[in-house]
Amino acid sequence: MIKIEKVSKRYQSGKVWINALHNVSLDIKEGEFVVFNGPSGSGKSTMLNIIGCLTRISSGRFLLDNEEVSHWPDHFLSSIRTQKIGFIFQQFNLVTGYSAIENVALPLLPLGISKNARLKKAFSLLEKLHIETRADFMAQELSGGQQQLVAIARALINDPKIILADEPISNIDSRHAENLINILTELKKEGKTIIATSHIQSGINRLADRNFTFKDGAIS
Amino acid sequence: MKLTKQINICLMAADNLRRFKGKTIAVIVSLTITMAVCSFMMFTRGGFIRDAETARDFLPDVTVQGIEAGRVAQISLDIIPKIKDIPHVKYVFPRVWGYIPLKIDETDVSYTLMGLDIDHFPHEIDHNTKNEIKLLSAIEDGYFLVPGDRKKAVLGYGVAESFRVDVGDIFAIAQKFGVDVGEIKNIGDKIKIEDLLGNSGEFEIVGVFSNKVQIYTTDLIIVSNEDARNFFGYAEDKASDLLVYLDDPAHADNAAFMISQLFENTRVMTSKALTDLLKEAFGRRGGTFQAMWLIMLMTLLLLIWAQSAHIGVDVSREIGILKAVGWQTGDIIKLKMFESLICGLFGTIGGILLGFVYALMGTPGISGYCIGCASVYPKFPVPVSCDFGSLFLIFLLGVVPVTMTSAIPAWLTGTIEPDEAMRS
Repeated sequence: MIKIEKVSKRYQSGKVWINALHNVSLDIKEGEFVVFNGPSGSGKSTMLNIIGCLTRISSGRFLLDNEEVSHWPDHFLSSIRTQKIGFIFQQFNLVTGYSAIENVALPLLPLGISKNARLKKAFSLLEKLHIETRADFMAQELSGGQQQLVAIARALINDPKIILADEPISNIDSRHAENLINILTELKKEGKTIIATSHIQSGINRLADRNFTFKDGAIS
Repeated sequence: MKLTKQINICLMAADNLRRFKGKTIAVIVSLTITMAVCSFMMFTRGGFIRDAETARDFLPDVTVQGIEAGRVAQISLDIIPKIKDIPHVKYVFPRVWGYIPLKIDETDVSYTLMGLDIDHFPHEIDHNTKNEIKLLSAIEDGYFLVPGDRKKAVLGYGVAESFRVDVGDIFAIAQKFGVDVGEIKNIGDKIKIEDLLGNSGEFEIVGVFSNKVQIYTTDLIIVSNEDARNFFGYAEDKASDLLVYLDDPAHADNAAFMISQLFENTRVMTSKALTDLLKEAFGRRGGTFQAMWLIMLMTLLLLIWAQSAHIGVDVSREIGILKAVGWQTGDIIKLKMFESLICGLFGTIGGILLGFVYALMGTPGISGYCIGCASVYPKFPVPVSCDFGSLFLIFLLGVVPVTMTSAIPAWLTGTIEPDEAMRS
């Protein structure tokens, strides 16, 4: 399903060029639960961003569903993100000024779905995650754990095949972390392909079918 | 589906404007003020141009003035027969006119007393010829002077308003008496006016011009040539200028050229040249406001650009999030354009309404500058003209630059990779 071949990623930070990934290769099959481990700056989040089509590779090949998408134009990558990928960010990345339910419904907006239909679908997901009582709360009014649940609901709104979770338990307390692990377990049972990153050994690693450890931009 | 998508994006744009109330209000208020300046400038300029065109209808095809020592002077009536011999010349009328300086309510004002050759003036309007003498048709109350009328006058709307007189009243211009404009005069009443030059006269009002032709007639008092001669002390064989009417105005330039060739000490002006002068005078004033408005618009656009180009961390992060959840760059640009479009529309519509109301109120504070004849009393309102072309142009000037100014920075941010946009 996901094939990474000798992928390198370089980017410029000020005047300095940074080699975030160097000749990394890996395969992930449909329905697998994979965890990228490694310390900060090891390249695991960059790899997750590449798989999520949030950034482009500098060299190598990235195949998604047997199609090389590395050099696809921006609007095709947007379509992939809409149809196939749900992203749970470490910082949740909710849009402030919007309510929880509006944030969840955000990916549906450019698809031409009416407001009522969008909000109905978003509410059902919030119900599924037992956070429907906070539907009308502004994003900034929610606790870290609640924001995480809203971010998960947003990632699931388009029923994607792939769930990407960047350090999903690093910014929430242990109670919410347990809840999150349960949710990911459920998603795995539903056949979703899940790729998560973690800088420490945690409950997520126990769920993983495979663990990849990143160090200095390569898999060790 | 596509329409629903556009509606969704438009509604989100409206929501975003609500979220950033302070910035939204600042942009709309600035744009409203800028567009109000633009609107009142366009509306009044249009009004002046329209009035200048209207005034052209009242001008003779050619006006001939005498020149003495390089200055405008009285003209001899001896040249009239020779002018009449020029091809296409239909009428030549001497005109005696001058200004009546007065002090009303402690204000220095000035009216124009104009004597016409009433006994020979064509009183039947010939609708078949292009050069019909439209003064006759511009009377609102009463009638235009007829042959034999002496000590009678037709007043401009502004003069009639000033002295609160109407048809049938006696209008008197006398020396060294204070002016009483405080009460409505009746037939037989005398109004004592002090002409600062010592001139005096007394006339019965037989007609008042319509206020639709104010730019040309507001300060006019039309009397017979004899009355004007007596008033100003002109000799029998002299006039202020000669009015030449042609059988076809298309020959005005030729006729003017021939007159100027025949008579050296004359200044010859066609109605077109006079109208152009009028337009140019108003156009120059309009130009001042145009320059002012341009500076304001440029400042506003620079401010919007500076704010948009320096997209804040929040907005950049928001664009990154939208891209990450599947929004396309085009949708994001559309979103930002809708935001600007809404601001632009509100600001422009507000500006148009404000400008229109300001123009209708007579452009308080700057009307003297706009009209350019501050001594006319009472002040006649600044002419206002609002047509589809002006409105379209104002919308174009208000909405398009504002929309584009914020669309470009949005595009610049929208084209960077989502993770970079979220991190910046």
